[in-house]
Amino acid sequence: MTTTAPEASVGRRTDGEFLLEVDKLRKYFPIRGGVFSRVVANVKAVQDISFTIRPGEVVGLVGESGSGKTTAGRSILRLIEPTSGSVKFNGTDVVQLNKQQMREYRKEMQIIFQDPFASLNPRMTVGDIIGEALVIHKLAKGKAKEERVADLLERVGLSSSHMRRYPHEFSGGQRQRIGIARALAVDPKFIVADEPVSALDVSIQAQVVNLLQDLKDELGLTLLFIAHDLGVVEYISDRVIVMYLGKIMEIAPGKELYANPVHPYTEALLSAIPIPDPTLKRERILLQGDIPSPINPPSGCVFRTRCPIAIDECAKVDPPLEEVSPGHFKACIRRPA
Amino acid sequence: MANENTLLDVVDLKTYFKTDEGVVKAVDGVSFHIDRGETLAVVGESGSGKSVTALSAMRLIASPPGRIAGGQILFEGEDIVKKSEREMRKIRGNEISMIFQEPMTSLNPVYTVGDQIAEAIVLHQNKTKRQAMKLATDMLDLVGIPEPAKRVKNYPHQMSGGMRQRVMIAMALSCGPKLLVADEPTTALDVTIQAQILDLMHKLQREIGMAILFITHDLGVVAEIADRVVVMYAGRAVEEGPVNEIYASPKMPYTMGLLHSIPRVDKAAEHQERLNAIPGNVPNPLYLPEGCSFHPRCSFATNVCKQGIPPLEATTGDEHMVRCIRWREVQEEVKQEAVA
Repeated sequence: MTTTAPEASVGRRTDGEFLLEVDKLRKYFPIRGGVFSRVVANVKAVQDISFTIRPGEVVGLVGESGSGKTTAGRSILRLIEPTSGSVKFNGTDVVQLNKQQMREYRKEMQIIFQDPFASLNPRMTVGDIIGEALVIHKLAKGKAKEERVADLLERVGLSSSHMRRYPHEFSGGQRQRIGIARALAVDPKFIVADEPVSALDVSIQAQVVNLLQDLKDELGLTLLFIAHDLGVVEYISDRVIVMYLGKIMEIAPGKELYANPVHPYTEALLSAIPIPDPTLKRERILLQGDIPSPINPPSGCVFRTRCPIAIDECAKVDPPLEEVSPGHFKACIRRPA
Repeated sequence: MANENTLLDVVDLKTYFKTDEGVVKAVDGVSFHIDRGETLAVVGESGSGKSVTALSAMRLIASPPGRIAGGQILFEGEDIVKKSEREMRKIRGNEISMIFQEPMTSLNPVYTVGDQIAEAIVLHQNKTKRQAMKLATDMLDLVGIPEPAKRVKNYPHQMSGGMRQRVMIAMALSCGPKLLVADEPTTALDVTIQAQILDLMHKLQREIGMAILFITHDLGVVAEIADRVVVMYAGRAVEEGPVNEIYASPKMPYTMGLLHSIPRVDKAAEHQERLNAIPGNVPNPLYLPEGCSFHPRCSFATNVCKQGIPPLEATTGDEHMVRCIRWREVQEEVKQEAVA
């Protein structure tokens, strides 16, 4: 039971088992200073994370601000260039591809952004926004394009007549539907949904989560669902990855993570979520202080400075991801494997 | 139900905004009261009018385009709406103070946090700058900022989001207000930091005894902090009552929908596969639906719901109020559904 996560899953790999294999992905943002603009330090946004996603699987990627979840999502799509590591999509390492080769893969890998207000060009009609990728990838034009856009709009719960309207005429929830239609336009196999519901009201949030779930079932989509809200993630994800300060703390099948969290950070995160039941009196794990700076993260376990059960040893050992039960991994030396 | 213990009594408040397309009735006839030392949560989604209600209570509505078009805001029996700007300045930051959602933008970046806390103290209390700075340090200590003597000389950008919100709270409480208006104070914060801030507000309320008007969109936070709740939708209060009762037996279909649409991490193992969404969108405030504003999204609505705005009426006990003409039938239908 004490095998380490990435090796173990890579070792078991048969071809085609995984759609996405992320191996030791790292993204450092250099900080330059001095007269010669030399690199004086690095923001260690993502530090060597590894995980896999199977075809048709929805994986939730959860963490607070500064955990590196968004950077991880964007590095996988090469919207920002990873510093090192590999991202294998269907067996091909996309990090090694040149620009032209990458363009082919963009069709397969799409993104839905968090802010439905900033991510839609206000000067383009909804039809042009959704149809743009079809034109770029030479998939459809003219009447065929229009039909495809109409079909997509209806698929996400809007009407084909919305095609000629502009983004400002829509509410937040509707705009997010437009963003989803745009991502679906090129028939991608894999979508990174970067906090797609965080900016929405709860009643609308539920609509969009349900829509994504329906689309996943209908189209067999594979999703990396990034969120800071453990509640929403649970509904849509088959597995959940918890990140803190650029590293993975815990990976577990959806329900398992909520029922039996093993990592002290996951426990604290779960207990911090307010439950809409005033009669429920919980013993809350209150974390002290703030998330440390990613420029100079703590040695050993990055969570140890706020961890209620940390010991001296935690500063020395970089905890490996160990399997505690099938599919459930944790990076903590204080919890038995 | 105002009584001698009432600190703030809002009666039929109307706050309107003039826009190019017409008058937006952001708050249209809202009434509630807050007793001394109690926490009242006003909860609603975007566009419900909850923040405008809070800003009205502070008389912070920018005019033009906004104005308090009607109603009274009685603070210790005196109508704030009628007060001059000069009189208001004596109340604001002193008797009633406010904390905002964005701790990043509500602090002045060119002054140290000590200066900013001391400013209110010098203004409202007969204190010298030196005494005020000492008090500012004490306040930082009270809100749980480590090394307050050092931190008091920090600029806002040297602090994290959670820390800045603590500074905001220190500033708001520095003159010992009777009422703290908190407008989504934890919305911009991470959950673990939110837990810290809510815990701090609880503790300070016990120590200082101020009443809190807590504005939020998060029903989870409401359950943790509030004694009573007002649920708002499209500028009106649609349900009001003690927090336990609202959560145990919500009467307004909107409140029910809202409670059902929240993902529950504590019930992860037992719940069904889908979230219960409320269909449709919040109506455009310029063109509110006829009758009950919620009826186009309500699964219990019938033709009667389109006829006239339903009154806010008492249900079980006069503490629990609901604005739904069919609340009795809705209760029955819910019960039958539960049986089936």
